[in-house]
Amino acid sequence: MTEPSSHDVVQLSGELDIERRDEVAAALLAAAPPRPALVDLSEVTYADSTIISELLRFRMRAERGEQRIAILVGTSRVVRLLEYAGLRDAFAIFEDRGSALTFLCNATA
Amino acid sequence: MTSERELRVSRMASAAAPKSIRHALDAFLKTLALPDERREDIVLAVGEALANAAEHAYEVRQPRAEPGTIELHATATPDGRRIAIEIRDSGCFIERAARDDRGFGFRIMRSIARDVAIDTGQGTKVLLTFEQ
Repeated sequence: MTEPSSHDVVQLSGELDIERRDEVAAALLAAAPPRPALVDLSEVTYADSTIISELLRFRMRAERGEQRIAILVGTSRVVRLLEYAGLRDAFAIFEDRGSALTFLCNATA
Repeated sequence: MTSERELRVSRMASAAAPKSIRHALDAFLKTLALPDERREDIVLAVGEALANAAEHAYEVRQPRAEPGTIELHATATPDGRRIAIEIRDSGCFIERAARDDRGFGFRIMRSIARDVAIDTGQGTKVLLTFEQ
């Protein structure tokens, strides 16, 4: 199996709401295409639609730049958020890091 | 007959206000007999209303006007089977289409709450009703 030659990791934790929108936007902006990017939300304890907005912008930019992105979740909280918003299938979501990295690896193979 | 439980919280409108109010609500909900996921979902739905208030409620105010307040009033049966939560601010209501990013907030509220009522008479009042 080929390991990703390089990939970016955007690590976010704690409560992601309107107060931290600029911080989240800046963190996602730093993971520029075309390198694959893992958005690690496994330590997130709260997230709302403010973060959905930033993730959608991130996804749009990734699609334009042919960048593969994966989202790593810890609890079901983030998944439920996306389901309620009707966006469960809009992102590649993984519950374990290995699967997420394999997904990104396949993008670079 | 056991009486309803009640929570009232008021904060100055700011980007930090939703988090503070959410924490107070979460502590209140923990006193009820609710599964963890249900409690988290209720906090999420209310969090969306709070974020909307903080983000949009004051867009049309005069630039030098004093910021208003965001108020939450929750009532619940002790078993948590019926919970009503009102979020009130003195701003101007803006509901955006779901394809516009922030419009997802109302979609999320409607996915979780049994009823979502919006009153834009004076300021904005969102009443969320949850039933099991």
